[in-house]
Amino acid sequence: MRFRLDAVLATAITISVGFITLLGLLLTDGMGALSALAPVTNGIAGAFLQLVTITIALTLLIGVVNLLAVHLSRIVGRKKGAIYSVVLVLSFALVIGTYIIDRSTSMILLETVQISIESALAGLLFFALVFGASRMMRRRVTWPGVLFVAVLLIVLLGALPLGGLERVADARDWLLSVPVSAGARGLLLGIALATVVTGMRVLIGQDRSYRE
Amino acid sequence: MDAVDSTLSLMVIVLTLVIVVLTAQFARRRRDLFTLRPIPAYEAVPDFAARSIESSRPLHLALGSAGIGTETTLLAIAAAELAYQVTIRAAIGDASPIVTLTAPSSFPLGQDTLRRAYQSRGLVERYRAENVRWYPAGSRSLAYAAAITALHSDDNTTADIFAGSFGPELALMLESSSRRRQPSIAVSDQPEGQAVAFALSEYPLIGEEIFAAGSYLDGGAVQRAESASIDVLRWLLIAVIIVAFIVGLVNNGG
Repeated sequence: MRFRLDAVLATAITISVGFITLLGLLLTDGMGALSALAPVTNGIAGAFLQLVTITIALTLLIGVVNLLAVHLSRIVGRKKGAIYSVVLVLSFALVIGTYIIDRSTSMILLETVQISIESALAGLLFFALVFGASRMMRRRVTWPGVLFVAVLLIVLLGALPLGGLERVADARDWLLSVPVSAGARGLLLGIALATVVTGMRVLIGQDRSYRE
Repeated sequence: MDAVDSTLSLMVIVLTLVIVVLTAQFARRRRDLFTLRPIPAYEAVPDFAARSIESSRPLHLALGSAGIGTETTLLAIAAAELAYQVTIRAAIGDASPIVTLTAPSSFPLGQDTLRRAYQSRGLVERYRAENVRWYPAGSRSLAYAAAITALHSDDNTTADIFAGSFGPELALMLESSSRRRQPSIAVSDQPEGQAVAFALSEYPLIGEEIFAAGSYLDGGAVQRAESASIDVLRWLLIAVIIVAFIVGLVNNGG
């Protein structure tokens, strides 16, 4: 079997850094002989986590450069929708400019433009969901589909502030507190298990990125 | 975290390590040991790639807000594996897949995934770094949703794979996808996003199925062992819940 030196090195670094950080986060007082390692591993883990924070801050900068590069190339190439790219680049320059001159103006721009537009989009979500439910029934009528639409109707009707719908409101409360809550917990438990297994594979160097 | 929590966490990690190593060894010795149930979303992936190649239109792969250095780190890695598997299938086409994300920390992961996929096909010269795109998320990722609806039209995408962390804003993206008659695969680690994915996507994945992309699309023994490890842990958890329930019942009865 042949090994590439850079892949072996990357795997060795990942495994050692991963395990030291893990121990640093988990070891504490009252764990018998392992407690003696806690001060050292905690310090090293703290340093690694600080490095992660700095790296993430750098990736934000890379993201901004990427965003500008993509939209400037669209403008230069006069691609479809280039006008939106012009708006984006001008908005970017405006926000940076106002932030340098007067921070409060920049915040006003953010609050009045972005938040109001996002709120308007949030209002559209309801229609997208109801339309989606109707389309799902049109596409294929299955028991999960029927159940989904029935629950959706009960939850929506139960939320209405009208008299005579108390039983529907009770059914809504029961649905949300028992089956929906149980289902959500089951889903999250499944994701947590898979996360632990994937994390372990990364820690022991079985992830694909180390092999290529 | 106190000593009891730490000890329990260490025990879970050691148990998981043992299961992962053992299942990988068993899988290497007997390749047919673990059989996988069919998942329509993974069966549709070759069709998605074929559509992209035949129409010379790009596939869109979205990671949402799954990011490195947060609690969604491993979800981002799992989503990147799916992106890798899709890209190696679509790499021979004229249009390179477009990866979008809102977590800037996932940006290097996205670029590396695309590059490795092209490299494994021997087509690294076709890799375009600008096909990984970062969109600032805003307070509720709705700005990202708006950007994706524009991307559908501007880049004339052929199909969507939403695999990552999404909230209810996924409805807007899937709605746009559906309006353009584009098939979609969708999954989210957030219950709200998962519900939307189930209702609106043509091929929904449920919860941890996103972590099985390598098992289904790569087919290697080690990848299959990952799904088997998750199943072993799941059965252990079910046993623990049942035992805890019975103990609680007995204690209350006594």
